[in-house]
Amino acid sequence: MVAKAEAMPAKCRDCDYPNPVLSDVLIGEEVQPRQITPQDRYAEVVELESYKREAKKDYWDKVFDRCIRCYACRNVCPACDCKECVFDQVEPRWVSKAVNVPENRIFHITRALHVAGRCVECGECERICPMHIPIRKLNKKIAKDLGELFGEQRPGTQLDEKPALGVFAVNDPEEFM
Amino acid sequence: MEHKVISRENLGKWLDTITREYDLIAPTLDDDVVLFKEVKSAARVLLDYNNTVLPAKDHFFPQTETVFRFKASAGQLAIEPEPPLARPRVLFGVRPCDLKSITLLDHVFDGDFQDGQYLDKRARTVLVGLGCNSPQPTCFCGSFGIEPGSSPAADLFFTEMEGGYLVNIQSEKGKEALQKGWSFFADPDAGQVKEASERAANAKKALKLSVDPKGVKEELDHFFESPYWDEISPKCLTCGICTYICPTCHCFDINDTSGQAGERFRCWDSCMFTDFTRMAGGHNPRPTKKERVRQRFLHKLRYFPDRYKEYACVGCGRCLQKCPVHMDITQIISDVKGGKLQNAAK
Repeated sequence: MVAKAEAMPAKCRDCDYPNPVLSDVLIGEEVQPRQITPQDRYAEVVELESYKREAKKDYWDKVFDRCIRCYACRNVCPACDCKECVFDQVEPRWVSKAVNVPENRIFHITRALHVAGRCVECGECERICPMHIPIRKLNKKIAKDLGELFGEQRPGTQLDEKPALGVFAVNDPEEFM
Repeated sequence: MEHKVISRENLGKWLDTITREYDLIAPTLDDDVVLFKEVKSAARVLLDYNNTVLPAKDHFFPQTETVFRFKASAGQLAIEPEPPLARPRVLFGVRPCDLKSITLLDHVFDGDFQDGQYLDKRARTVLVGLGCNSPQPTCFCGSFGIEPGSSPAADLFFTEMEGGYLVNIQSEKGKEALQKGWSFFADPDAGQVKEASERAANAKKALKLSVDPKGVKEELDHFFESPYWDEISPKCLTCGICTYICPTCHCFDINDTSGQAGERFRCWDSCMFTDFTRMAGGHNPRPTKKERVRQRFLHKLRYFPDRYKEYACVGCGRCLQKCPVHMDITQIISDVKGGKLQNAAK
């Protein structure tokens, strides 16, 4: 026998939305959501943030080095909805088919930034990755940064909420201007 | 066949010894992912594993490989071919399914076209097999005539036993590698040879999953068109997991980097990708999932046997384990055998 906690994917262990946020019919009883503090939620991200710049690069280069670019993380993602993905585009081909750290880095960073503010943290990308790339860390880092810049949002949980990067407000932070 | 035995402790010593003359590639941990990688010391070799996430093919047919480098200057074009391997290699710990897959890749790369880069790696690599004592629930190598406990494709074949391993010496190339540390090996007694063959027989019995591919090619010859393909393809995500972790998939693309100096490289490609069959003019003869999913299974079960008289599946079960939507080749084989394609066509 395997303990339930061991058999559960990591994404389920720290899920605080066990009940569908929208349903016409709910089968079964509602489950009491776990209380997950922001500290717990972003613990791994905070740890990575504490790394020195070079150590961060080394950490990500090591895991990106084993990415085989099967694109399962992209194809399973409910937020990925481009009719033609930049990584499939042939004319022009923006990213080479060669699999190496620089190309893999571009893929992962582009993917993560493209779902910024829309990632519902379902964690499917990480669950199905055959090479165990900690993709949720990238997603969470962006969610954390967005929260700090625009106020905490949990995409996909409020029907009438506009995604932070999908609207403009005059008081949006504009550090670069 | 000549046999030797080696203790667990001495196995490490032998592996360390051969690293003086060979590059040693063995199953090792990359974080928690088991992969075949070059290791500098036997301490990094993982002996207790089911199978690697990626098959051994990457070491003969790398995911990305330079074919040649070029440099243009003053109207002159200099082309420098990729050099052969600097040192011979020992590829340790390959399971019988993956060993078989290498012989299937040989049909492709060692056939009418002689692929120099593949053949160089193949000729200079000693294949050391390691028998499976406990197949996984997704293993079905037996369905393709492969035994989990032996393989004729290896140069040396190791079977784990109490306290050590029995070694079958299956080629001169293998024996030469063994002789680099001959003193670490001893002659087995009759009991040890018997124990190893019992373990191999038990491993075969432990295979839970099986499917009978006999006649599948002949059936598929008639069903390029069948509504069956429409039925099974919608759930496919058309990612490339199945093709990239498959030990027999071998389709590749060739590209050049641009500029005055650069390289021509080849890299794995996948029939699951939208641009795989995209023509220069933009036409795509496999525009939807249906055509792509059908292609993958027809390549394994019809076209490959047409060309080489063998199925291009070794039952390693990686696609069963990793496919995000559980596309199951054993189910497809059963469906074909059960007349589903025929019935769907009615």
